[in-house]
Amino acid sequence: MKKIYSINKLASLMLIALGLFSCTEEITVKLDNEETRLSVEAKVNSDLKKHLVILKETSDVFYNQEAVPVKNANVLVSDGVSNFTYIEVNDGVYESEIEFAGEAGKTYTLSINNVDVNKDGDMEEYLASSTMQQAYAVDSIKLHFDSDHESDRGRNDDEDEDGEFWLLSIYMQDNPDKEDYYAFASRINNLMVHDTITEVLVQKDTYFNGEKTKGADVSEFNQNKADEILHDSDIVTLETYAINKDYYDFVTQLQEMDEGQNMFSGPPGNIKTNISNGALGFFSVYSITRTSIIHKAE
Amino acid sequence: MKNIFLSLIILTLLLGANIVLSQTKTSHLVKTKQDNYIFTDLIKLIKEQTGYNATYPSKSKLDYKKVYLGKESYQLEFILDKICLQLQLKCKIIGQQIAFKNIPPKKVTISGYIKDKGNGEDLIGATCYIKELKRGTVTNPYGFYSLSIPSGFYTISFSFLGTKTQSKVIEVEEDTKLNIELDSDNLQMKEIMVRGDNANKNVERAEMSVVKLPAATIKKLPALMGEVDLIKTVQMLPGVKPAAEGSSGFSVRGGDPDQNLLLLDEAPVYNASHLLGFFSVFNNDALSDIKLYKGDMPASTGGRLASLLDIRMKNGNSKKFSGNGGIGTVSSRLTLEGPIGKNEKTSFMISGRRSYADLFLKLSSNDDIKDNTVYFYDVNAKVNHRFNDKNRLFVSTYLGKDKFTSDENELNYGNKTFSIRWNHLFSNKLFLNTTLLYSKYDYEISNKLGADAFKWVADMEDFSAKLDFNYFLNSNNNIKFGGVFTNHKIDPGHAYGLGEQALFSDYRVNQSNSYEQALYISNEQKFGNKLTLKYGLRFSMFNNVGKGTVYDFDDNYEVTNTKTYKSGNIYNTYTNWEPRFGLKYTLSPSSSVKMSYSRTSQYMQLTQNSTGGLPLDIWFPSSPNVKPQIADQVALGYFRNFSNNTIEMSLEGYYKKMKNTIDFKDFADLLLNKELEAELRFGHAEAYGFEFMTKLNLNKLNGWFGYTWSRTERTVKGINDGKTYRSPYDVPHNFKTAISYELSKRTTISANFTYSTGAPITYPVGRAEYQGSLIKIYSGRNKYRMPDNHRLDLALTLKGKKKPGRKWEGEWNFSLYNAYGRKNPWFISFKQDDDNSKVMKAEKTYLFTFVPSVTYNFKF
Repeated sequence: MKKIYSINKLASLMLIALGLFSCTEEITVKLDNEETRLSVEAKVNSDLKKHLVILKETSDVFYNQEAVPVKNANVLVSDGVSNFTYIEVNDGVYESEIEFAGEAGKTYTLSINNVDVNKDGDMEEYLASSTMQQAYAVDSIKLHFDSDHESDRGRNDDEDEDGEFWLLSIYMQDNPDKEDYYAFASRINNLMVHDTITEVLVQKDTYFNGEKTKGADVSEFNQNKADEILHDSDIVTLETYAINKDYYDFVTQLQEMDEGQNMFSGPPGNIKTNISNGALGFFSVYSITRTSIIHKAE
Repeated sequence: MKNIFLSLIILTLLLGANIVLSQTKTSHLVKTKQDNYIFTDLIKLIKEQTGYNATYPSKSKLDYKKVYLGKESYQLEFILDKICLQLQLKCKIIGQQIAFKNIPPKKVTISGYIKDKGNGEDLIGATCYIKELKRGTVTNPYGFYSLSIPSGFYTISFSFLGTKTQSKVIEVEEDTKLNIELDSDNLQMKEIMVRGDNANKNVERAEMSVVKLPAATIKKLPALMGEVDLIKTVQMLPGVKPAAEGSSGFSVRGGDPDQNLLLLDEAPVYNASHLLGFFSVFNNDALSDIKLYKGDMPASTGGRLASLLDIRMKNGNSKKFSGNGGIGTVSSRLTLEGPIGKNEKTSFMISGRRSYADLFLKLSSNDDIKDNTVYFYDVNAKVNHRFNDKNRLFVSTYLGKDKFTSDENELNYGNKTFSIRWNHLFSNKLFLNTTLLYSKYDYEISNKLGADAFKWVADMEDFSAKLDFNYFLNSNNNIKFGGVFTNHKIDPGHAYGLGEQALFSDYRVNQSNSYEQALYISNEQKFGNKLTLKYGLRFSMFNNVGKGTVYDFDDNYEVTNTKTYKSGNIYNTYTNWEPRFGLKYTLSPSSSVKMSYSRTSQYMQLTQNSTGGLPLDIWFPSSPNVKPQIADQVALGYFRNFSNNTIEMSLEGYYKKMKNTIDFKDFADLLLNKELEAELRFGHAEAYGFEFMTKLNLNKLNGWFGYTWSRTERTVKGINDGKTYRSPYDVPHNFKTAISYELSKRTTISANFTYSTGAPITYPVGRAEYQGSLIKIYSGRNKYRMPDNHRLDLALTLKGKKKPGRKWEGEWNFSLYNAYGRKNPWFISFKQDDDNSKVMKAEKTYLFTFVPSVTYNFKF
């Protein structure tokens, strides 16, 4: 399910067609130092499990290490009725004390306390909330092979993302009565292969509202990328996430940002978050629908 | 004395002559000793030396008037001319008698057309100047001039940049029609080219902030890949900044690219780019005259805040059939022009151009490239017909298209313009031009692959009618008035799936329909020889007309209400009074000061969010949610000429305040979006600076140097936390030069050089990790600057030997773009290192280092 248009794709098509090969080289840029802020990666989904919240510090853009974890925070998620406390299982990694499953229609609130990220001596408090959407019904999925596929994911100059791919098609009905926001990621033999956020495909139904999806491609397996190679009898599982608009915006903005700037992109800006008090990242809440098939190599 | 006077009148009546120079040539010489004489003394002197007696009107106090002479020896006829011109007399030699006579005082008008003798083209802005009155006028865009003066005996000179000045000594006793054909410039002529009495035009004319570029000047300068391009030349002028390297967009005095009004034979052109802007849609071979207004906008134009680029196509040679063309690296061109029928009443011009870079792509070994097609073409055509001296008709059209196709995608876009103009002279003082215009921009993008197959189309159309009157009240007042009505129809985007397999449903952004209209009146009034005032008023009105849809938005830009309006229903109106004012005060024959103020309003804008601009960008109108943009600009300038007007210097300062400025929110979704207006943010902006320009018009050395210092800032709610930020076109220092030097009659070298402060840019200053990826934390909008930008381009033109009896003339043009290979950043991007995702790198992408090209141009 490609975007109806991709400006980067279009621009690079035109530039190549023109025979204008631009050159790229690294440059040194002097930048001011910015205040350290909190970065949050928190998710609650419809699986019955211990959910995770990861807290880190932001850094200068040219910092070249793992981000510094934020330790000893008090992390709590509430659905308005029950409170779920989180405990730090690793530096900066917090896990809910008990297993729980998010329920559609409920609003979850994340609160983070007892942290002083900007080191001003005062403790800060961060809040975020999000409502879980009803899971989507997926009719079926199908795999097909494309020997010369140009992937939309990743940066447009990424030549690794062109070539032999297995593509996963989806058959389902979009709800004509509401705006729907989808995200897709796949597992091979239960191992998540689209694990980074830039590999997750997000889509809104603006241009196919109420339509049957007619086998649109929603997952890609690059046969030149070790963890995505499919073998005979592999079990391929598509996870279809029912996300809300805010998270859709966050992921599309993050992906756009990851593609980098070019001549035809608008001025860059800071991506949106649903966490208060100047933190970065997102508290995402979504339902998951899983659909599996067994891959038959031809 | 009375009797003498009476007999004189009788004599004149009898002879019925009004030509002053006597037909009967005498061989008498008059030797003078002083450089001035009192009239009566001079008469005595003439009588002494020639024996001719003189009679003259007694009441005219001629006895005390002085006649200034320069030489020591005159033929009798010439000394009589001198006397008549200086004292406003006419005279006649009858036998041994010289009869002087007063010219009866009367208001008369001289008017006519000024044309190029070689090809019959109208000369726009050619000067008609009366030496004795120190008064003059210039031709309007149709080559017409009119000058009302007291009857008298005058030296009238006609001149035009690059042509020989033509002077006529005539007596004007009644309304006179004087159609002039000026010899066009050629090398031999140039040596003796007289810098006419009105060569100090840039000092004397009342308008400021205006630059005129003849198509011939543009042709001499270096060009990217040899494609001579007026927009790229305009970008070399002080106060103008290219939107980005290689872009056809430009910013004038801190304005946005969509604040420039581009008129091709008065029809607006909505997208001036071919091939992503590397070339503009204007084929230089088809053009005659280009004028850029950076401010001091005439009341007759409006609708854009920053500038007017008035481009005129050639009318076509009315004397003989001729052609010219060129074979270049990117494209080839051919222009044909000539008279239709006899008696020079009708002529045509047709000019075509097509790129052929795609033919080379076929040779590529890369399959992806091989299957791509990319080309552009454009055609300019014009026919004009002169019914009689009072009625002329012009029909002109432009048609251009760009096409890109690959195995799955196709994109094509283009402009069409069509204009019909009818010039009518009600009298020798009242000129009317009636114009009907049509302009269209459209694009189509499609994909042919299975579920992704779709087609997406968008277009905008303008239908327009215009009346422009020019009333030459007298030599001190030139009044212009008129009105314009335009209907804008926009279909901003319609996308739908193709075929059974297609996923996409039908999605259509609401179409819009609007009227833009204006009435204006202006006068240019001279007070004595030094002071000229220009004042005018434009009343503009904009209506949103059904069928239309208006969304109401809440504070979060979510739609709260949708209103639809029936076809033809005017549901929203804006009006604006736009005063225009200008002043020129002459300090000396070679220097003046000027001042201007203009208010302009803009009702149509472009969804251009990138500096590069895309063919997919679409225009959107003012509406209940989008207030019209308004700008007030004041400018002050000092103009000075040196070395007999061969060096023109100007210094202008300006301040511009803009209201209802539009910018787009971060990550704005501007295309195929019904709720586009929710992506807009509004605020205000200001721009100020000064421009220094020196223009050289020496025999061999031509061109200009310019330095600009300028700033431009915006404050827009919802962007940069509401704090003031630099506009993307804020470039404080800018030095430019475009120079050509004639080494020999056949060899010309030319160079462009530009240096400017780096453009503002937003850099990431921090980062955060999220699910295997890095979130960049950006600085305030445009807080940083790219590295400084500079570049030198060179060109060499070699003309073939002119062979007698052969019409064909060829010339080679060798051009080198970015001669010292400066790697100016086209854009800068930050990305994770491929080998180590924890490392972020800044990368600059640059284009065009050392681009050589060869073009062969010919004419016949």
